[in-house]
Amino acid sequence: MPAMVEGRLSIGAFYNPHLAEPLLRAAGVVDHLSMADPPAADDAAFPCIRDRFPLLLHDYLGQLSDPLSDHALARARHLQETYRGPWVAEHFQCLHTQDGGRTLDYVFPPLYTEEFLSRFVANARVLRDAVEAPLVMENIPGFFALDYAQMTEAEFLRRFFDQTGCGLLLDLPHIWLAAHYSGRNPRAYLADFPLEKVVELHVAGVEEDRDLEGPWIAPTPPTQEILDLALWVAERAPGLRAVTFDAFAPSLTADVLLRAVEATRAAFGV
Amino acid sequence: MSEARSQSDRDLQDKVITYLVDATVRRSSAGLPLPPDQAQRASRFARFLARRYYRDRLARSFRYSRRFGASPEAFVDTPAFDAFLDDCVLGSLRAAETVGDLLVEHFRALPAPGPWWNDLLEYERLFFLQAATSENTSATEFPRPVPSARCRTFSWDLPNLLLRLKSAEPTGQELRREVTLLFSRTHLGRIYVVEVDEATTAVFHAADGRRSPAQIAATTALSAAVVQQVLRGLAQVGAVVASSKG
Repeated sequence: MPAMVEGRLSIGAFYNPHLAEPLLRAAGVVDHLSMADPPAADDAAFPCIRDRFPLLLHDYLGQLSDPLSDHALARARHLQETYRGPWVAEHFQCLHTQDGGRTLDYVFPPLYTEEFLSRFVANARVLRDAVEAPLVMENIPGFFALDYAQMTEAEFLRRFFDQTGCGLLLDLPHIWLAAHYSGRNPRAYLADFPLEKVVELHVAGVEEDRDLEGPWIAPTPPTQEILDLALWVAERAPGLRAVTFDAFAPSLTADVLLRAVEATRAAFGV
Repeated sequence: MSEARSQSDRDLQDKVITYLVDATVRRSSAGLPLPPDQAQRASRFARFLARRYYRDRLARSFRYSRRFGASPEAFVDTPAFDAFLDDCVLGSLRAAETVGDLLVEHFRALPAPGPWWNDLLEYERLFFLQAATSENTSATEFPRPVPSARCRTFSWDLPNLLLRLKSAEPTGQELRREVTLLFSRTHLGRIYVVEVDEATTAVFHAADGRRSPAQIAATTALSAAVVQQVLRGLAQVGAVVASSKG
């Protein structure tokens, strides 16, 4: 199983099974692949993909606002044994009710409170121990403001990383959106983020959404503004090892994926 | 906020999730105490979530009918779907039934590609009910069906018809065969579609939450041992909630 490139940034994308063949032909362009879903039983290309690319576990392993079940921990361990990536990713999210009867089925941030901080710290440690690999955590944007927060997102993240030693997977479209919907500049929004903890960056585009009546994440190449922001963060992130084009959708084409990765490589001079 | 603060933050998060999931909660005074501009944003986000959720489930469930020009994803951009969003409880069985019925009605207006078209749409509708229902079912004194689980007899051999459609092979009269399929979903989200025999069909229909296993055996004229075995199998595939008495 190949290892991540050493001595420079690894520039990769998400594994989209319908694009397996173009990805295999583009092995010189795409350095690594993130896995959002386990390989399907009938995915004939996956053994070649696993032989060709370093793989990063970026599945839904469970919401760390709640203790993970034995089943979820065993599944996470199994996936990491399959991929053997240098780190495992999860999200700062809480999208299911405690009784499991209601779900948003989409990333959604927790309330930034002391109670949630304690919950995430405790459950992240358990997950990290279970997978026996470093854990990185991804930031999630909100779309509306609730008056229940006891701290900012930046403080929540900083304290979490200080207490756990986990790494930060900084999703830049998420930052751009959080800044946009709070009426701030993205760099000002990032001012108090623990950028020294960043291990991986996500880049992608944004598009107008009819329901939101504003921009949201889209499986499109990163805008120049996102790439400029990525470079700005990279200058402040000595532990940065990988940049991943964050798009995982049946509608994604090989052309868009490869253009996005090539634009990212060009921006970073890789 | 003092009333809200009397709960744990985790309970409060559940309230936020429920607010986003349930249009009736958003309309009621028992919803979240949000200022009007943020409440409007939350409503927009809720519509975004619901449209995304049903687009994904429809695309996954109506995989075969799309081969004949039907576009399940496009349905979520119709006025009929917009109207549905105003009352939607995301992930509820009722919402899944509404969306499934609306889509099938829409597709039935298309030229039928074969005499099995209505059976295929019914198969996909029942699959969709599993994919788009996330509600829990708690155990009761006696075994009862999970609300989204369905047992249906088709006039066409659906398992073989789907194989033929997948490989673009001809579909002829030789596929006309009655077949009874059970559609279910486990609490971990795994969907099952399995062909079942008469005994399993009978136990599934008799396990209505009011009959004990012994009464199910009497109703179906099956032995107690067979009923227990079938109930275990039905529970494993998420079709029946086992008795709370174990």
